[in-house]
Amino acid sequence: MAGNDMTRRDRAANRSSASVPRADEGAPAPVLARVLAILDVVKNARGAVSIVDIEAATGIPKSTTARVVGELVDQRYLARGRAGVTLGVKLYGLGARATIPQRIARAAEPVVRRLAASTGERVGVWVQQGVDMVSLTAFPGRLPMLSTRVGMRSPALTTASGKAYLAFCDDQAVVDRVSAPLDGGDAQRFRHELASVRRSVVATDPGVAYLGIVAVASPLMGRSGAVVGALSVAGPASGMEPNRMSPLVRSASRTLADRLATV
Amino acid sequence: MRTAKWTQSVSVLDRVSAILNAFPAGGDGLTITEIAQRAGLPKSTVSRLARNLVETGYLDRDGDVHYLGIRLYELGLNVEEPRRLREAAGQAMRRLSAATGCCVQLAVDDGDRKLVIASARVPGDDSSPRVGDWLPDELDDADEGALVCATRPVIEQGEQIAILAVSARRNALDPQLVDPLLRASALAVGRRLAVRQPER
Repeated sequence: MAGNDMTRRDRAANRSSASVPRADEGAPAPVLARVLAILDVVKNARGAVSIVDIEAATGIPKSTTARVVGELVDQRYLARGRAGVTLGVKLYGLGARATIPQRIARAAEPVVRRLAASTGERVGVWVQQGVDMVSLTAFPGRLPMLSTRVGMRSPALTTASGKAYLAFCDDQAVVDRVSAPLDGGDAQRFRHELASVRRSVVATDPGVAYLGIVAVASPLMGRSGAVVGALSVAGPASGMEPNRMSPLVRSASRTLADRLATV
Repeated sequence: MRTAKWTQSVSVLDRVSAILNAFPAGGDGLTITEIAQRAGLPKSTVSRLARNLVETGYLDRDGDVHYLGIRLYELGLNVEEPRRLREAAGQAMRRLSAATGCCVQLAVDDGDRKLVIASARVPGDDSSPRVGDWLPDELDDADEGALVCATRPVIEQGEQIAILAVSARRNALDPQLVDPLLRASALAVGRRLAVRQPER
C-alpha cells in the first residue's frame, strides 16, 4: 500500500504545473505540491471546475482532491458554486498585498503603453522566477499571437529579458542555475554575452527563444539599485530593427526605474 | 477515514496560510524571524516552507526580506467575484467619493474581517484602507482623529454580498451628510448587480 501511495504522489508531483519542487526529505513538499497544483488547475480553467476535472488534470486521486479542495474552500482560497469551484477571495487579498508586482505593474502601465505606441510592437515587463522570466504586465503589438498574459513564462537563458536581467543580477547562484545546461564553449560565450549586455545595458534575442521573434530588452532597476526585472520589446524578425529599438528600450527602462523609485 | 496523511495535509495548508497571512497590507517585507513570530511557527518550519514558496513564486525574496510573490499577484487577477463586484460598484463609488469628499471602499467577508476589494480615493489621502487592506475594526475609544467607516450592506438576491464604506477621521465624518448618500449608493450597486445577472 505504501508503495502505491508513493507512486501516486510522484505522479501528482510530475503532472502538476511548472516549478513545483520535488520531494527530497518527504513530508511537506508533496502535500504542498498538491495544493499548488490544484490552485493552478482552477486558475487555468475558464469558469468553474469540478473535482473530477481537477483529478483528471492533476492525477491526484479523487478522495484526496475532494479533501484538499474542501480545506481550500474553508480557508477561502477557493469558492464553491453550482458548477464547481473557482478561485476565492483570499487569493484576491493576497494578490493585492503582493507589493513588488503591484508596485511595478502600477508604475509600468503608462511607460509600457507609450513604448508600445512608439514601436508598434509588444512590450512586456518581466520578473525572474527560478530559471524563467515571468510576465508581470504587457501591452500588445501588431503580432496578435504574442501573448500579453500575466504569469506567462519564458526561459531566462535565451530571451532578451532573461539576459538583460541576468547580466545585472547580483546573485551568482541564480545565474549559475539558469546557465547550468550550457557546457564549455557555450557557457563561455554566454558569460561574454552577459558582459556585453552590461556594457550596452541592452540584451537582444535574435530569434532563439521563439523562432521568428526578435526581442530587445533592458534591465529594470529597483529602488535599492538592484535589478528587479526587465523591460522588453518583441516583434517579428522581418520588422524588428534592434539598433532602432535599443535606445528606446533603454530609455523607457530608465523612466520606469525613476517612477519605481518615487512610488 | 482519517489517516496520518490527512492530518499532514491539513496542517501544511494551515502553516502556509499562517505564513501568507503574516504579511501586512502595508507592503513591508518580512524576515524569516518576523514571519515565524507573526505566524506563531518555529523558524525551521517557516524557513523550509518559505524556500518552497519562493521557488514556486508564492513568495519573493530580496536578500533576507520576503514579500508575497508574483504567483499570488497572478492568481489574484483571476478571481472572478471581486472583479464582478468592482465593475458593478465603480461608478457609484466614484460619485459617492466626490459627493462626500471622503474615500470609499467596497469590502467583502474574509473570515472575521472585511477585505477591501475596491477603493475610490481622494487625492492626497494616504491613510484610508486600500485594496488588499481590511476595514478598521469598530473603535470604542473617543479618539477624535481615529479613522472610522460608515458602512452599508450591498444586497444581491436578498443576501449581503459586500459592504460599502465611507472612511474619514472621526471628527470629520458627518453622519447627516454621509448616511443618506451611502444608503442610496449601496442600493444603486445592488441594482447594478441585479441587472448584470451573474452566472452561478
